[in-house]
Amino acid sequence: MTHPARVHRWKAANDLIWTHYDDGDEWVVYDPASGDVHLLTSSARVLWSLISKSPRSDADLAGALASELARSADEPLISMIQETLAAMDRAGLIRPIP
Amino acid sequence: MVPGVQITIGPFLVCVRSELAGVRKHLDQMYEGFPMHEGTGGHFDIAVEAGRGLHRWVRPQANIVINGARPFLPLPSALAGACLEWAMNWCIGKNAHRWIAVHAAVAERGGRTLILPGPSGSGKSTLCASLTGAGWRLFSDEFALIDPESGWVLPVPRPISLKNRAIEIVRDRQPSVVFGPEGHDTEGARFVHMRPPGESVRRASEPASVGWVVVPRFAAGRPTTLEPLPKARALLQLTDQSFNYNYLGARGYTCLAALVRHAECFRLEYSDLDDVLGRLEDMAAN
Repeated sequence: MTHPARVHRWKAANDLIWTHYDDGDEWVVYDPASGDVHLLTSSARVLWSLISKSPRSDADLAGALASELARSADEPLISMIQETLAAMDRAGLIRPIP
Repeated sequence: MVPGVQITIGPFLVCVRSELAGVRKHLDQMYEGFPMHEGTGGHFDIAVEAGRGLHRWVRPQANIVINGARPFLPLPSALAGACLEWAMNWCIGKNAHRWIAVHAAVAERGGRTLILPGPSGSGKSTLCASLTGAGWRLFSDEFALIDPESGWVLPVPRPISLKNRAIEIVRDRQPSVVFGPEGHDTEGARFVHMRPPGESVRRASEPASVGWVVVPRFAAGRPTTLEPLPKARALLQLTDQSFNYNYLGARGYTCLAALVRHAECFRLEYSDLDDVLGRLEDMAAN
């Protein structure tokens, strides 16, 4: 499942402030380090929460999210996870570690 | 130093100094009813100076000096009154970090504020001017000023700036309102300033809580739509339009997040003012 060039784990950034409202599924996250604000899906929030508990690999995350969503860790889900992780990495919300 | 005039505008004491007749005329016309005294000192010291040398007489210029600095290039002296308003906008946007400043029009009804965030051209000033004509209290056509401790919104009533077609639209609806002279700004747009309602000026020290956050968009020919806006997206709008929430760090962000939590949030698209005013009155009544 994991891409040979992308075997690493993810670590969550510290001190982020998350905001959720009852009228929707989206989350807003504020990063005090950069001052940036981001709008994230509930799936992204789940992924970040898993990473924040302990650094995780793509494979770990796929399995955990599939379980959370009660679906199989199929190619579309893996692709979505990788895109989401890449986006959160660009935003500074997570970073890869060996 | 040219003698100054101190004007109380909401929470700000602004000292205005100028020998230019256009500035004096603007103050007399647009700031009637404001607490105003001869004097110097205040949160902001704004001098609108005549151009020097040849530019005092040929293509006369006005130079804006704010707290001793010159943040703008010289402008035509015919825009002297408008220069003062632009200078005040600059002062509040750049320096008023005791509060969170959001680029928004704000009006109040029944103790609750309607915040209309959006960039220039979104129709918020036209809407704001029309709301005041319909009995809403003007807080500002330019800034939502929010106390990060209490979450209350502070009034900063000032002349409302209208551009292009909005001038005729508002003038036709409110023929008794005092408008300043029409001019052309540096981008060639027609503009005019409209005197704020006396009631709004008299109550400029009365803050209010947030009621609604409505993101407006003028769309010619389109029917009015007022649709719920997910609060997460409303928060993003406010942070996008905030000049300074980040200066206050996490406190600024959490203040805006809490403000949205207490507000009803909508996205508005409109072209017909009568219709949209009716919809907003219904929203406020409910």
